[in-house]
Amino acid sequence: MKIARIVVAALAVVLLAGCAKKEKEAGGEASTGAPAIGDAIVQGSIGDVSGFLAAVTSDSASHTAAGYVFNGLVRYDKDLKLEGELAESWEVSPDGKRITFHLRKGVMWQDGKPFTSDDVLFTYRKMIDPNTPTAYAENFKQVTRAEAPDPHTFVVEYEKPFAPALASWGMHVLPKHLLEEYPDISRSPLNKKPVGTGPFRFLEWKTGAKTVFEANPDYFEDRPYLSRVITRVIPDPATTFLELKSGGIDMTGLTPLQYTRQTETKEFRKSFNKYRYLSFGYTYLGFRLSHPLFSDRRVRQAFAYAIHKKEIIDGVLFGLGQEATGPYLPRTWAYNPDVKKYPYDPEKAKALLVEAGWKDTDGDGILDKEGRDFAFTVLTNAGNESRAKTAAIIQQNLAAVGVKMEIRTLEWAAFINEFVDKRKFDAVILGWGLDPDPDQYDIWSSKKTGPKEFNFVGFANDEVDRLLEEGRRTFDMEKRKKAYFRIQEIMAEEQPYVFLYYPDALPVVHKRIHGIEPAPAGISYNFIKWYVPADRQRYTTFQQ
Amino acid sequence: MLRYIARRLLLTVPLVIGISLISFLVIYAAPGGPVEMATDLNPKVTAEARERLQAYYGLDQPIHVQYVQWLGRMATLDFGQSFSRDGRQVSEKIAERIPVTLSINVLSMFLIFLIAVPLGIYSAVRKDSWFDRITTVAVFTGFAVPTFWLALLLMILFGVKLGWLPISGLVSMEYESFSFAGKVWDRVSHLILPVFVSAFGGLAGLSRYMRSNMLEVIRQDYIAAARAKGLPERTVVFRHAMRNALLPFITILGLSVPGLLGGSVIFESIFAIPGLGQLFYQGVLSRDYPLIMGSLVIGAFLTLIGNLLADVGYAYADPRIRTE
Repeated sequence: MKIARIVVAALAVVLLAGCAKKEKEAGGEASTGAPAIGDAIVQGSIGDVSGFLAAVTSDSASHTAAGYVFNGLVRYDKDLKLEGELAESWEVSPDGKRITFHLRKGVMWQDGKPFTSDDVLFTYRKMIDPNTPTAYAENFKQVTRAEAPDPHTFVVEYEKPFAPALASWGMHVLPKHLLEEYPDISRSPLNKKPVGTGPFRFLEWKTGAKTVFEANPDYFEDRPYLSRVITRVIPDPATTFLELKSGGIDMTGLTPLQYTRQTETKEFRKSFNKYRYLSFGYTYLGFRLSHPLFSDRRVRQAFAYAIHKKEIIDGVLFGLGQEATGPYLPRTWAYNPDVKKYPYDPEKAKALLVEAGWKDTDGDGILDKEGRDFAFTVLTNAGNESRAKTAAIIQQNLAAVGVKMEIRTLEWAAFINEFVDKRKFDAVILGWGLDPDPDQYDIWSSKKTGPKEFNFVGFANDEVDRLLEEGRRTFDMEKRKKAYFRIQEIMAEEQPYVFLYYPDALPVVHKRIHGIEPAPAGISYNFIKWYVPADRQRYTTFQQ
Repeated sequence: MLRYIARRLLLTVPLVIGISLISFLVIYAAPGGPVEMATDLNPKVTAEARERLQAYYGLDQPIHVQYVQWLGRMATLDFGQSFSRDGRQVSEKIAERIPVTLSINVLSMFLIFLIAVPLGIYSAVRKDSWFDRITTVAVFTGFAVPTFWLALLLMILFGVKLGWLPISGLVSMEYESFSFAGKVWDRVSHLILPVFVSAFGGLAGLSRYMRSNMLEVIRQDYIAAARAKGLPERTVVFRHAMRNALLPFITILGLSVPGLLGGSVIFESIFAIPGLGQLFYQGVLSRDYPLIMGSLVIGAFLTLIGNLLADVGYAYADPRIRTE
């Protein structure tokens, strides 16, 4: 339904593109104006916020909104390295079991109260409190001791060194003085009207319609240039795109089709800047490794040779993506570029399948072994156009080497709960979002194959198990890098998934907004530095 | 009459309970619960965290216990707390969306009646004329055109190309800074496309209904008698024929009572209108059980009330029914 809608919308846009276009927005050439305070940025969001305390929400709209108001102790910088936010610096003890955070001085909560290490300790206690309905308690439960020896120092100890723990302190720090009296923080007024230390102050939440934030003039870094951030809820992507074109919103993400076919007009380029960088995730074809068809590594390697990744990227993403070689993102420090590659080579694929005992003995074009055809079903979730198209291309590729693949798309909840969780699948097409930290213990460890756990393909490799453990038990970057590089070599050899592609993120922002500098982390890392030159400001009624 | 109404009202209680039981079972049978929908395939969420959340929502209890608890709360008209993390009352969430959905539906229904009734009458009176044929084609086209498609085309034309009307939402970003007249126009301009689109599809059904009712009535002997008396055609059509042809409309009005608060997912999504349809749809997607149940019960109750009103209205308007 949604796909049909987008296609029709696309058609309509193409058909009408010939008609005269009325430019609403003034300006054309990039103004050379200096940074100025003022104006607003209006964004579109598919979903509404469900609350402003990130600890108890799990949707991206809520997390984005919370990010305007709150800060963590640490954050990722533009090169995806950890840097201090509310913490000025930190030290890890030589044995790796103790982290000491030195907090910034002079930081104020937006209600004027000072921020201290008591707030951090309070946040930690709320995270492990059984009354807090959070899904993210795990990293904090590893802590054996937490204390605040003075107002600007916070110390945590772990039983064993735990490298991903450092990033977990990016969790938003909560104001103790405003939350103390609420046993369940999700039921506190702060979840609806947040007060934080962040660059923006909460102004308004019209449920189902919009959220509004205004610049915090006392922000401890710098006051953001933009006076307001308005996020409108627009559930339909086609409407979002029309709103963008008519000037109703300033920023959204484009689909590959929109990026390549519908925004290459002069008018569009005059009003908008498009950006393109790798998004944090990849799409893969995962096998149930205990399935008799896929337990042989040669078969999985044959698939990797048979699948034409370039064709998938060109056909599905209009070229806006990159071939995946493993579970890590290029341009992050853990990415190993020198692993075994599988260039498209159907002949090699056939040879490997023959080696594994698969031949077409009955001449029907489908390989067989011991009287059984090489036929299986791949599952993916309905409503994801690019996954469905990817499946169709893979189906063609595999047919060319004598493998018969059926495609079945299922509604998301049924797909995950009835098939993936119950291991009732031959193969799946799915994607993972990636964290900047390379710890993927939960996805690849042989201890994580239980119900509702994430190694649902059943990957088990002793060396990988050991390396995963090694990688998360040291803060030494070189040691970690070595472990994760080796893991990628093994993955490339074993092909528990055929790693297909990393899609590009394709944000578009109105041209009057300056100061955007794409980096490995994307574009939003320097949001407070975005500005509109004084002569091009549009929403002047919000001037502060 | 009063006794009849009281009896009917009393009968709605077991009906609503029955409907709620079936709804409850169907919703819980759907794959994935609120915890799964929020945390599926998120490696940061451990199995233990899931169990904790299940217990937090009371979903670790047997289903019959959950139903009885829910029913107990319903008995005191407490719809419970939404499973969404804002933790707000379901009744509050539904109530804040009623004005939007109600006003759009009332406006569009008004528009439908305003156009469909004269259209149907005229088509019937001038049966097989050019006018009749053109309206037939037009209303059926309207009926067949998918709402979302029409909406998108109108948005492209009036919003992007001409720039006359806003594309979506209820008010502009700068709404607060407008003068009173500016505010009124801002609201009206945001309503034009949604009301038109939601009325457009409904025209066909009603105008056809009106036309066939009218045709039926016009063939009756008493119309022939009225004409034979030498009454002007105007009086025959509007006094004698139309009043009788309008009778079945009471049923339609009754049936449309639940629709007034129903809201449409499609056009609310397309026009980014925060109405009840979207609320319910999002509730279903995230398996917000209390919210879904609350919406369904209200819908069921309104349907039953609508039926009752139609029956009563009918009895009032048509003496033949009253005497039976």
